[in-house]
Amino acid sequence: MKRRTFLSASAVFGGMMSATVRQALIAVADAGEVNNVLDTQRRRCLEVLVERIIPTTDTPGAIEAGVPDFIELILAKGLMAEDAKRFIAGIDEVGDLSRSNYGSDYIELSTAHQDTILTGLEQKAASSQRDDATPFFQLLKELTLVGYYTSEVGATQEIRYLPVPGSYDGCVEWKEDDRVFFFGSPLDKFI
Amino acid sequence: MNAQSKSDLTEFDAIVIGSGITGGWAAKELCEAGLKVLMLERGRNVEHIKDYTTEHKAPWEMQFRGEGSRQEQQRDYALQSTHWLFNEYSQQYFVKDVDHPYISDPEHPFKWYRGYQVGGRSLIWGRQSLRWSDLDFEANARDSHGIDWPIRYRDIAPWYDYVEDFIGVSGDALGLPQLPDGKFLPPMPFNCAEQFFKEKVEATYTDRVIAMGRAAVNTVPHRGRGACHYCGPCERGCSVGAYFSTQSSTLPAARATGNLTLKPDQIVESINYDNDAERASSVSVIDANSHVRRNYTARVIFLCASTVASNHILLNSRSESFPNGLGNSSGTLGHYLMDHAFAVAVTARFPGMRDRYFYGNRPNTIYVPRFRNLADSEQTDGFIRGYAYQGRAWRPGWRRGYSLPGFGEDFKQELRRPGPWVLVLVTEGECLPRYKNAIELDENLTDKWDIPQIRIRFDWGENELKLAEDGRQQAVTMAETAGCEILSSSNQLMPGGAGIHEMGGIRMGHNPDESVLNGHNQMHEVPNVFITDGSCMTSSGWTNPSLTYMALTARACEYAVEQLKTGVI
Repeated sequence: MKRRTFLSASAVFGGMMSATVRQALIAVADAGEVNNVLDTQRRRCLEVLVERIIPTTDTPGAIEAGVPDFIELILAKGLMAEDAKRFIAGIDEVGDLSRSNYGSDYIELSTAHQDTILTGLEQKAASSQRDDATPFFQLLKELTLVGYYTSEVGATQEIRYLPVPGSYDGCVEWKEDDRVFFFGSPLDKFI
Repeated sequence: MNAQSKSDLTEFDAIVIGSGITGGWAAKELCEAGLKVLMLERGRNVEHIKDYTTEHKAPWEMQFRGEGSRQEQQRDYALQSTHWLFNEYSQQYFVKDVDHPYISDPEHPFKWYRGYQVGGRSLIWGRQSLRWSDLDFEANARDSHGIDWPIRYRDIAPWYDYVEDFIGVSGDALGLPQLPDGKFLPPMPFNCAEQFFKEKVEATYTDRVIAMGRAAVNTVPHRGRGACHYCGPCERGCSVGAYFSTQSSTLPAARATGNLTLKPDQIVESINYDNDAERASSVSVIDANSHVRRNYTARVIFLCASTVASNHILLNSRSESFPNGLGNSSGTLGHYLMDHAFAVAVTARFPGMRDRYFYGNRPNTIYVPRFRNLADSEQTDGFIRGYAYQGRAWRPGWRRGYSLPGFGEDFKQELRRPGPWVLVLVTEGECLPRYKNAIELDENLTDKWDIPQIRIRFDWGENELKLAEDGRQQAVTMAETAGCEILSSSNQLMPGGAGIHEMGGIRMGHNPDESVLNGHNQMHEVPNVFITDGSCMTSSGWTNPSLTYMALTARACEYAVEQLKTGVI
C-alpha cells in the first residue's frame, strides 16, 4: 500500500509531498500499519476524492495528511462491516458515474467534473431519510475531516493545536487570520 | 465484651466495598479515625498519574485518532460507547459490557454506565458539586411521593462544609435558598456569549439566575493539588489532580494514615449475616482473575459499590433471616430506583460576537438553578418539584464541518474559523420515587463468576414528562430573550440511567417497615452495615447528587466510629 501511496500521490501532486511526510509514511509502513482493503483503482479514486474535499492550499491537503491511510485503517478495523461495504460500494459508484457521465475514470476527470460528481452525491445524501444508513458522501466527508484534522499536519498547520492552554479566557479577540483551536467542546458533534 | 477483644476476632476493623466517590470518602474517614480498613474494588488498579495513559496524548498518537473503533465498541462496549464521554481516550475507564452483563427490559430500558477500577466513576464524573436544601429533604413529606427523609438540611450542612473544604469546589455564592452556598474556590469565568445570555435573562426574569457551575475542579492550588490548566477532557485523568477523584484526593489521605489495605480485582458476591450475633459477619469475595472465593471479616462494613451494584450485593446476600436480601424485611430493597430526567431542551445560535473567541477549555458548565415550584403553594402547569439546566455557550470547531454543506478550498478555509456562538441548555429534572422502577435478581442467568445477574426495569412518569416540556418551553423563551435563533428544542427524555445519577433502592427512612437505612445510613436491621452511595437516596432532588453522597458518607463514618467506640456495634 505504501508503494501505491507514493506512486499515486506523486502522480497527482508531482513533487508536492514534503520530505518529512515521505519519511513519516516510510516510518508508518515500516511499523507494519498496513491495511489493504482497497485495490489500487479504488485506492487511487479515494485519494482524489479526499483531496477534493480537503485540497492542498497554503497548507497541505488530505493526501499529505495521510487521510487515505487513515480511511483504510477505519475500513479495516474501525467501521462495522456493513458501513465499510457501503463505503467501498460508494467508491465504485463514483467510478461508474464518472465513466457513464464523462467516459473516464474519476481520477482522470477535470477537477470541475470531479466536483460535479461529488456535488451530485452530496445532494443525494442530503435527501436521505433520518433512519437510513449514513450515505456514502456523509461517511466520506466525516472520515476525511476526522482523518485530516486529527492528523499532526491538520491539527497543527491548518488549525491550532494547544494541548495545555494553562488558563481560560472566555472572551478573547478573534482576528480574521486566527485559526480555530483543535479542541472545541465535546458537544461540537451535537450542533 | 470490650472494643479491643471484639477487634481481635476480625481481620479488619472495617471493610469498605467500592473505591469510587463514596468508597474513597469512607476509607479516608475510617482510616483517619484509626481503624484498620480493607478497601475492596472489583476492577483493576489505576495508579494516580502513572496509569493516565491517554492524558494529553495527541490524536495522531492514538490508533484510531481518539475516535475509537466501532467494531471494538460494538463488540465490547455496546452500551458504554453510547455515552458522549466515551471515546478511545476514556474507554479504559468504562466497563466492557460483554464481561459484566445485566438484563434491561427493552420496553422499560435502563442504561447502566459503569467504571470498574480503583477510583470507579470518580475518574470520569461530571464534577458538579451542589448542595441540596430543605426544598429537597422535605419534598417527599410535602407531596407524599415516597417517604419522608429522616434528615434535614441542618443535619448535613456541616458535612457539606467539611467535604467541600477537602475536595475543593469552585463556584459562586448566590444567596439562593434552594441552592445553599458553600465554601468555594474562585469561580470559573463565563465566556462572552454566556455573559450576554446571563445579562439578558436576568434582566427579563426576576426568578432566574444564570450561574457558573460549581465544579470540584481547583481554580487555584488547593490542599496539595494543582490548579486546572484548562486542557478540557478531564475524563482522561488529571496528573496535577485538579479535579476531585479518589486517586487525587481521598485515597492519598487514607493511605497516609498507614491504616489502609487496598485490594483491587476483588468482586464482592455477598455480605454474610450471623443469625446469632445479629450482625453482618463477613464479606464473600471472588478474585476477578483466578475466580477463587474467600471471606473477609470486619466489625463494620461500608457498602459503597454504587447505586445499582450495592442493590445487587444486598439482593444476593440471602440468609435464613433475610431470604429476600440483607436487611430487607420491608420489601423495599431494589425498589424506588431513580435517575435525573435529562433532555436537550434547546440548541440555539447567538447573533454577533463574531470578533470574540475563547482561550482554553473550561471543564465546567453554566447552571440555571431551579425556579419552578419554590413555594409550597406553587404548582406549575400540573407538575410538582422542578428542574435545573446545565448548559454552555461556545463556538464549534472543525467538527461542525460534518453538517456544513460543501467541500473543497472554500470549505477548508471556512473551517479555519470557529462557527457562530451557540447555546445548549439541558433540562435536569427531578424524578419521583416509584415502587415499579426496580432492580431484581434474575433466577436463571449468572455472570462468569456465577453471580446471579440483575434485571432492571425503569420508566419515566407523567411528572417527568411535564417537567421536560416546561423545561423545553422555558429554555426556548430564554434563548429568544437573548436574541438567539432556535436550532432545536426538545422534551424527549433520555432513557433512565443516561443521566448517570442513578439513586435509590436502599432508601433511608424513619421506619424499618418502609426503608432499609436509618438517618445515619445504617441498616435498620443490620447495625454494623452502612450504605452511603446513591442507593441510600429517598428522593432524587433536582441537583447533581455526588456532593450529597460525600457528605452523607463522612457523616455516617463519624457515627459508625462513635458506635464502635461505645461498643454499640
